[in-house]
Amino acid sequence: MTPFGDLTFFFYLSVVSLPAVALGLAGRPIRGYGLCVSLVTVGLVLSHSRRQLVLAVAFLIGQFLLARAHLWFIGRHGRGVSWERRSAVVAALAPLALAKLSGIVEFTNLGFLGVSYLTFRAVQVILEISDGLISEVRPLRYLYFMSFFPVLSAGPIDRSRRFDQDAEHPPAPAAYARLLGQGLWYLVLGAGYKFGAGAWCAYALRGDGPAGGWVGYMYVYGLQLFFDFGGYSLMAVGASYVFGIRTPMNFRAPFVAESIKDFWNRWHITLSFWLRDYLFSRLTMALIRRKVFADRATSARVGFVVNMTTMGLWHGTSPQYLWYGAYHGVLMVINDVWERRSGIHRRFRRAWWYRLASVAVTLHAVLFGFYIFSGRLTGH
Amino acid sequence: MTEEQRAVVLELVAQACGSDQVLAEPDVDLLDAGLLDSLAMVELLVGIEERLGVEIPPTDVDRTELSSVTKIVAFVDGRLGR
Repeated sequence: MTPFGDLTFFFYLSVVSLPAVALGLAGRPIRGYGLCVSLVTVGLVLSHSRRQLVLAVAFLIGQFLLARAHLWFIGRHGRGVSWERRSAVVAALAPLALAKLSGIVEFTNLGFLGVSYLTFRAVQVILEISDGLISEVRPLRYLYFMSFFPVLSAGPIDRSRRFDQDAEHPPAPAAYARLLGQGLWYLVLGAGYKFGAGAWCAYALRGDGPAGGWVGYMYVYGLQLFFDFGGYSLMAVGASYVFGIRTPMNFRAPFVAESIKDFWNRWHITLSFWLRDYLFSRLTMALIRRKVFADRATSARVGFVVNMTTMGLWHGTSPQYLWYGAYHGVLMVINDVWERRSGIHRRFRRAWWYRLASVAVTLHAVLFGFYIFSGRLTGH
Repeated sequence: MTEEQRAVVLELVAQACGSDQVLAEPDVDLLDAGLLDSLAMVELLVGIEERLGVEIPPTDVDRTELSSVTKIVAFVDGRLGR
């Protein structure tokens, strides 16, 4: 059973949703039921591979114990012990590193990028414990956040405190009914995107399809990525709403972005924001605090390159992903320099023609990036 | 918050946004105007930490709570009180 990928899953989803809807319309909490469904889903999705199932369970238990150990340590020795804070993060990232690098730990059947998403959620909890923002880690709540089935295989990446709020405070029946309606719409729209538009684009990209040379391929591939992943994200959000969780959106009209910075506020938003909040901000703050570079803007630019390259590598360790990330890092730097130093930008940034040109330039820069991502440029 | 602390916050905001003009219109949405990007946000948080001794982790605050000069001052005021 592939989440949002096959008819078996949709049949399963409609069946398990019924009790959730009944609970929601009665104003009752859905979380207990949601947790059971989530755990069953993990089991079903991994049922074909005992090894994967064992790994998934070990992962969840391990990350929970790590979070508790970290919390205990902070309670005892305070938040200032840097080696412990760093070790906790490294430990939380270990499964992801292993999965990417060794190929020994095969987690990929949880969904194309399952382990990457789960690990990031675990790391977020660790970092916020370090920050003093999370003061307790309750087993069932943690398990629910980590295994919530609509976002299991490929996100969107939610934040634990926000998720817990939704789970602990179910909406009143009328509010739930509206949420349900929205959720159903997103499920339908997402399916249209992924299985309609996205599928057509995939057909067009085949050797014998309409998208011809590399330029045509570039445009259609970009569209295909959007409809496929955007469609999946919409469905994941829709299913989340049915279970009373307002999972954040992943896309917001990405192709009308007026700059690369704006693009990353519109494409795979939850990943972009996660990296901004848990990598970029911390790295740049550390660089500024320690005055590593004379100019603060330089610190930010280094931050952009590291941030985006990490984003690329997070997708996979093949060269195309590394180049994709580095490419966006460089684009962010160019964007930043342009915005700060360009006289044209300062004078005309609100002019309609400038904005139109910005959209066109950004769009093409982004599409070329997807072309790199597709592996075609590096011969994959 | 003392007058001195308030002055420090205003100075930090102006520095982060790269212009003193922002202080003239304290209710303008800085995020919409593109004056408070991710670097500015980071600079602001580091500045508040160094000058006022108030540590604010990046995910402790919603960006919308810091979207105008008025809101920033109110937010820091709240934190100083803790």
